Amino acid sequence: MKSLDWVVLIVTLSGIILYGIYKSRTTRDLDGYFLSNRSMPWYLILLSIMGTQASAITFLAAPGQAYTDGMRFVQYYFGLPLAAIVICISFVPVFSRLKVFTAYEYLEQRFDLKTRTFTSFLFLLQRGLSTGISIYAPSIILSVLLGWNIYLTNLFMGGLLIIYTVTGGARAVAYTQTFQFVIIMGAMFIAGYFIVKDLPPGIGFTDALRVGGKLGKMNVITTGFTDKGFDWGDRYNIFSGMIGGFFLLLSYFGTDQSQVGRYLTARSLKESRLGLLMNGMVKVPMQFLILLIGVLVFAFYQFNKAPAFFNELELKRLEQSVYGDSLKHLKQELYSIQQRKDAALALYPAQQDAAFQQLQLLQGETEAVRAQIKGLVKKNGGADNDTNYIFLHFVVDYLPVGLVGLIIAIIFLASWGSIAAALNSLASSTVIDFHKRFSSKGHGGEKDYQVSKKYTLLWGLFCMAVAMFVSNWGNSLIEVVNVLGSLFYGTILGIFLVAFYSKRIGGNAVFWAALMAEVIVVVLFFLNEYKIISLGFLWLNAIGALLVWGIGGVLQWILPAKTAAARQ
Amino acid sequence: MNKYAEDEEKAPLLGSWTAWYVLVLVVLILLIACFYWITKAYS
Repeated sequence: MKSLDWVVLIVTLSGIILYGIYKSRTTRDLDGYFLSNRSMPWYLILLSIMGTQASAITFLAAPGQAYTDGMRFVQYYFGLPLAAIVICISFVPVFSRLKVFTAYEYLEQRFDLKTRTFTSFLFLLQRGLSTGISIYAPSIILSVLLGWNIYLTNLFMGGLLIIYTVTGGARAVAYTQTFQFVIIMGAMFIAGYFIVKDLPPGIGFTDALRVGGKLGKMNVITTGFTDKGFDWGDRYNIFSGMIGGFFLLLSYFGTDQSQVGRYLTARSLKESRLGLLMNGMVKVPMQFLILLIGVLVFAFYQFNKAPAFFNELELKRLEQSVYGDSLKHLKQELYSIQQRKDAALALYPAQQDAAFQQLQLLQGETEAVRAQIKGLVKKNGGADNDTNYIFLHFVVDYLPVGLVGLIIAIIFLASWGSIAAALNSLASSTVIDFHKRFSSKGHGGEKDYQVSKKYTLLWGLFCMAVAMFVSNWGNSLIEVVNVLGSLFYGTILGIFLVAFYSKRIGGNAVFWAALMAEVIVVVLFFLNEYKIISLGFLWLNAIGALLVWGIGGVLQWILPAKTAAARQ
Repeated sequence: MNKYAEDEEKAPLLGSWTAWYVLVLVVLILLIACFYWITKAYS
């Protein structure tokens, strides 16, 4: 990084911290600290929701995902508008009417204390671990590409935001997220502009899409059907997106306190609903545009030499290993393929069909060679997935001075936005669902406020500790954060769906059903991991939710009558 | 009438929340149709 990049990075990050502290003024009680006195308009709710969902890994991984697998990942978000509607109809009015601080408070009123505590515990477990990994995931990428110390990067990634999150609570989180989100989207558009600008003369935006499309990257809509029927192991298609994505996002937006806590800060039910529905309308096109950057980067690398492997650290380790000669040979093959690609692309656009036919053959050869390199990386004991390194590698190599600093700043900002919301929600669930519920010590405005600040700080330190701990485990953990949610969301959603839609099922039945469903979901996950069955992780959300409902219904029927009586 | 009940009655611009839900669905359908066209046009 050049001096100007450092200046841009430091000014942007310092500006956000100062802005967060400036916006920290709030009443010194739980309502002010966790709900910003329920004063937020819909557009702040919208940006806060989006800022919470879009972590750093979203902006790093999505372009890389499109580069390797095409645009089809966007289908994962098709369930979001449907989920937003269900949440607006069933979830938000209840939370709003009961004036709850956490979603789990409602479960005690509907079922019993143990169901509330169990659900809140599942949330804290899942959110605490995934926030730690969310700190580590972008840190490892930055540290590999820029040669930064991983522990120091973790410290800056997860530590600085604690300053304004602890002092300002939900209000500081919402205002900084808004500012962060505007900077992030602006920087991504500028990056997209520079990718197109750096294409060879005569090659424009639509040409880049055409090249990407002919090589299989514009597969926005896929069905998941093969010659053998529907492929249940296929992660992203229109059905897994609409059904699996619906359950995952319904659980995320309806029952995850990091999101519920955002729209509970709205000044009215109307503002909450508007924020959620607007998110349902803008999220899909926004994600489409971020993925499109990946296709543009892919097209760019058809005209320019692409790295043999985007994770520089693993590549260097491989060069110095016993596989060094094999790697050298494979690199030469890639160089030869690139020369033939250049010759094929020289035919474009005059002889388009011939050029694309050649390109498709050469892309097949490229992928075969890259697969061999990945195999060597794996044999050498490294992580063979370089998807998350692709976009930032391009940024560092090709974008102008100053913009590199800005893109690295947005990695931090995106990370801070989601981590700050997570810390705020972890603290609110701990204070409301555990501390105030089980502690007999006196409570009150100022005391609660001080305790809440302490819990926010403690969760910040816990998540930092998780990030530091997993730093010894290598970078294969990056993918874990994506599937971790699916292990718990289905069960949590099932509990809420029963609460809202099945008045017949009581607390005991739903509690034991949730425990059993969680065990089954974890077993299915491991069966898939060990290739005994084939099941995309998105389906775990639907299965978990339906299991809670199904088992809960059966248990309610067979449990002793006194349970039913107690329910009355 | 409490704040909650007032909110239930008022949906901005479109008159009812049902109209808002339909709008969200229509936008989703249009997006999927647009994406389908992009897939066919560029693949």
